[in-house]
Amino acid sequence: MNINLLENGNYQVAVSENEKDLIYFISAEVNSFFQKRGGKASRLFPPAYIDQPEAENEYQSMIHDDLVSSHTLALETLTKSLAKAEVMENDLVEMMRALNILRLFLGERLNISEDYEDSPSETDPSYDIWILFQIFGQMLSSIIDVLQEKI
Amino acid sequence: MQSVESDLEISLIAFPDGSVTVKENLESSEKLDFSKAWVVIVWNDPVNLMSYVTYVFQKLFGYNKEEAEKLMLDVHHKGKAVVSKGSREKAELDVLRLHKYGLWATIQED
Repeated sequence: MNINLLENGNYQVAVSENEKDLIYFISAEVNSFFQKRGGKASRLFPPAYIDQPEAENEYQSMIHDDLVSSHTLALETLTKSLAKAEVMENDLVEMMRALNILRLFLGERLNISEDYEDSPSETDPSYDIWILFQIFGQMLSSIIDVLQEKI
Repeated sequence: MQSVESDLEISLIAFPDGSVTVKENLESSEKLDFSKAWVVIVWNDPVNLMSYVTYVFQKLFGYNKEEAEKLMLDVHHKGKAVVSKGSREKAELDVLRLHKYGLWATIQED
């Protein structure tokens, strides 16, 4: 992924066909996950209150649908933006947010924690997911580097 | 609906049915001690890139890069950092904004 700031203030985002396919594939999986399981995943839907179940239930009942919509909208913006010649800054921020959502989703699959090893072996069943996790991390870094220059 | 600015920098919004809603000015609420009863804590998650966490702190709370990096490093090394304070309503809103960016944030009484 290469990103260039244009004279009009928009961004040109160049993404290879292979990278697009990966994004489409995992985005579809995440959307399907939201629909099938009601979006229960600790990294995508973290608790707001610790050790206060009543407050937590009340909070989640108020915001859960909003959070699902927000995540879904970010993913939609990401996939639609891949087909555009240029995107506005707000869309680039949404693309960044969406790529982080994809990483959080894969991070759940990989059970990443503080103790997680740097790289599974190539024969490990989780190796392909780990590679995807790294690729999305590189894309995310590219966007952050560009956005950081304007904040 | 009528909006009235008061001396305490809060907006009183009067509706046609006679009800009144008090809306705090978020910037001024930071200066009022009585509203600083809740804190928003961001916890470490090895999935999130350090540069991402820094950017989110800058974007959502207006920290400059140096302040945001210090908070990010607190999260990274100490496991958590307080990123905002205020009324419970403001803290819940900040937590939601952080959750939308995929950061693990919680709220608790100060």
